[in-house]
Amino acid sequence: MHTQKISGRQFIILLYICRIFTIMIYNPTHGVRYVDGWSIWEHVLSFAIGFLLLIPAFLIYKMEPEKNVLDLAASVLGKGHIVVTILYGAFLALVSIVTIVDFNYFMTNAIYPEVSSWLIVISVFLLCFYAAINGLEAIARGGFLLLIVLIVLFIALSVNAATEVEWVSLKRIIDNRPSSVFKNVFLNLSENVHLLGFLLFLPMISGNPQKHAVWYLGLTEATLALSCFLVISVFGEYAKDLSFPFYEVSGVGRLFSMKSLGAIQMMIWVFVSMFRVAFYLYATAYTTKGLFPKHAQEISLVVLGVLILGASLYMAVQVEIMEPVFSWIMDRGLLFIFVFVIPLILLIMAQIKKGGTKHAAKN
Amino acid sequence: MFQYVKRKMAAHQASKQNKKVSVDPIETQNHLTGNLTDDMVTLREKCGNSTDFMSNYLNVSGHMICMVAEEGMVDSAIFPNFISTPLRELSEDEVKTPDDVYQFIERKIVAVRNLKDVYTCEEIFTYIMSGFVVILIEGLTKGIAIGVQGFKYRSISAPETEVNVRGSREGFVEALRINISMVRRRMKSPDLRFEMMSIGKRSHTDVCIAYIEGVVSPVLLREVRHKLKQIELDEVLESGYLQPFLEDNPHAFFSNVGTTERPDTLVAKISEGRVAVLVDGTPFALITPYLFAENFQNFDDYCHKSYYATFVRFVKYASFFLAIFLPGVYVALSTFHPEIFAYELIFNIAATETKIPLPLMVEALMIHFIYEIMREAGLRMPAPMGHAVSIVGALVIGDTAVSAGLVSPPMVLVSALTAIASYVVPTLYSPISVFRLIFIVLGGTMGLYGIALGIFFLLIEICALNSFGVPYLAPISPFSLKAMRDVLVRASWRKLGKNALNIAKLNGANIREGEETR
Repeated sequence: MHTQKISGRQFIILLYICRIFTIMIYNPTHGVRYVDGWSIWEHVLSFAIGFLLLIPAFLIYKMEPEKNVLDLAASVLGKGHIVVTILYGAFLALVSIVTIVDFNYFMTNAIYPEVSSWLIVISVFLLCFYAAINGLEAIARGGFLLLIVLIVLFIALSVNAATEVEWVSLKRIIDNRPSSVFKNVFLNLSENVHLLGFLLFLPMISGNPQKHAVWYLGLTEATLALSCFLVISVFGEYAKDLSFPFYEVSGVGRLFSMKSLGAIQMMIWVFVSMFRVAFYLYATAYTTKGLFPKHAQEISLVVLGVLILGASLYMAVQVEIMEPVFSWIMDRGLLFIFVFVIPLILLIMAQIKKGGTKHAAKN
Repeated sequence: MFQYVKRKMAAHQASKQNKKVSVDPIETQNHLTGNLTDDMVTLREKCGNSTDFMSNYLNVSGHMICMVAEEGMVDSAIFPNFISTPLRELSEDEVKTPDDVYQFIERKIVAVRNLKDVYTCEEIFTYIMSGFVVILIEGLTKGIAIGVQGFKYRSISAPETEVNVRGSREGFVEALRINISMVRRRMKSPDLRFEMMSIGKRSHTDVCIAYIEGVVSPVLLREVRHKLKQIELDEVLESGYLQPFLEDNPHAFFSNVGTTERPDTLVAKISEGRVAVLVDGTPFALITPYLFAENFQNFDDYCHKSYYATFVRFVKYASFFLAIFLPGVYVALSTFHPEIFAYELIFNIAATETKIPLPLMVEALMIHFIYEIMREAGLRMPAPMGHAVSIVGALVIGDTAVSAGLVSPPMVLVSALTAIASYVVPTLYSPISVFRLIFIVLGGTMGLYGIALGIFFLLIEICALNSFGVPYLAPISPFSLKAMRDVLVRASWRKLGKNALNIAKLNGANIREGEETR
């Protein structure tokens, strides 16, 4: 498994692509965004709170730039770091599985209702596995090219939908309640699992971590704001009745002689999903490689891949049962524990240990 | 001769009785003994008395010499006039010892200055098979090789695979020394260095590394040298034999070692810090590192105005995408996503496709496969039969197949456009032709979803490649704004000339030594 350094720019782009996957698969049945109203302030608050959540990651980097949260756990907890590694590895594996299942749900409901879930899951998984084997650098380089396509897509969608915008639909911005804003902020941040990237990969990233965080959070929140604006301004109240509102935006209007951009948008979302799955497969293997013996570390990705594929296949078929479980796990702020609480506890323990060592040295 | 045979029989007898016998040094090291007869016997034995092995004895004022050469390799004007004749005219006062004969050849024969000392039979064969004449002198344990090459080689002509409107009409030839001189003529700098080596256990093919000292990365140079020295082939008949050994991943679809037939292109590449490998016997030189963007660069780009060169670059990129994606996307859209077309277009396509008995995917595969057959036939057939193939191709595919209802006109148009587009970027023809068929199958079975899967695989395949530590997709990704002035666009020479590009300094470049080299 390749572990070459990547630039800060590539890192931001990769996390950004992973984040906007949420736009594609957003379904009002398990979210509140389009139901209780949308406010631009939720994105501003998400940006600010997201940055604050990353403070432990910045402190770890400042303490030792070559170490991530798992290395810190190893130095503080000794053999107990295995528990931390397993927790992070399991969470990342869960993100991979949820991504595959959500993507399969989107494809089998919006695009190809007659296609077997197994075909979608296996085809996506195999290619993402191949990408993960080639390493973070390969995924990051491809991400840059996809970003260009995404920018073109957003411009095309905006132009396409411009004629269908109803400004009166946006009056809900004034009407919405503070409680719904905070609810949306909480949901927004809970979905932002990619903040984990700052805890795991900063030693592999060149540049200033704070700048990377500002860029990442700024770009993602701006994109989410744009997508919400398009959905609500085009569909208004009807948005909450749509299965995949952002995908439906591509079906309105007409760009040049093409009647519908839905097929093209679908293709681009396939890329986004695959980059996200590839990234999280790599992240899972990278996180848990320390659990395997040194001579077997190369096969860690294969072993984890088989487990993730099996779980994805099962859950894709049982999605009606698993969907509430996923929602419960992912939308209850579990991320805050991994991004903020655990690293903060480790930092405090590291400081205590350091203080104890200094005290012992003085005596 | 008789004494030699006696020694051989004694050695054979001793080995039968397991007695330790001191074996003649010639058997182990093949060094020259100083005995002209023995040495000549050894040489004739080694080459099996080959018909083209020539030897000519000469008495030079009481000292026997023997001149050996390969028939047809020596210049028939220089050798007799400037070497044989002066030697025959030597008097006994001028040469008293065998060493005097050697000194005379080394110092007095000025017509030829390519002189090398030879000590072993292997060296003698290497030199005479490279067009040298080797002179052995009775009483001396070394010989002297004189470079009087006169073998026939193809004259310098325009390169066939890299056609330009402007620029030089000279292309490399098969003779390595001529190619080296062509490169040297274009860069009259002492920093331009050539290093020779011999690769091929039997062929002993001359291989030359060319680079510019001070510009090339020393690590890159060491890596290239190391990889070439590790090659264990019996014969090296073309630069393509060496190419897989220089590639980081020889199984990848895209090659990260480039080739060129043009000396001007080679000089331009090594000026950017690359290393070139010239191989005797082939006009195709290798260049490494080689990047994806270079497939779209052509020497003509630098001779035209920048706006036109930029336009041509865009045409090339568009052609690449057309050649690889058009058939698959057409099949995918027509089969799974017809709603994306305008009504008029979809009605026309549907009207023609209803008459065709085959599914669109099968139709596309069939026509592209037939095209590949015709292309291969056109490459291999003798020239007089060219007309027959053209007629068959035009009539069979262009007219008869459509009239018979086997192929629809839109599909013929798509395949023709694809074929033409694939020749705009000839260096990428191999991956284009394979991926094109893959995309047709993916589009025909899974629609745009299948196309997306294929594009993802292709993207990762390209992104994962490195060429001696330089990302294959650089400077597009990792992005390097300064280097992009010669990728999608071709900036004017006033800008290009300001800061020369160095490949080792691109974003993401990490040229480092491999485990074996360290």
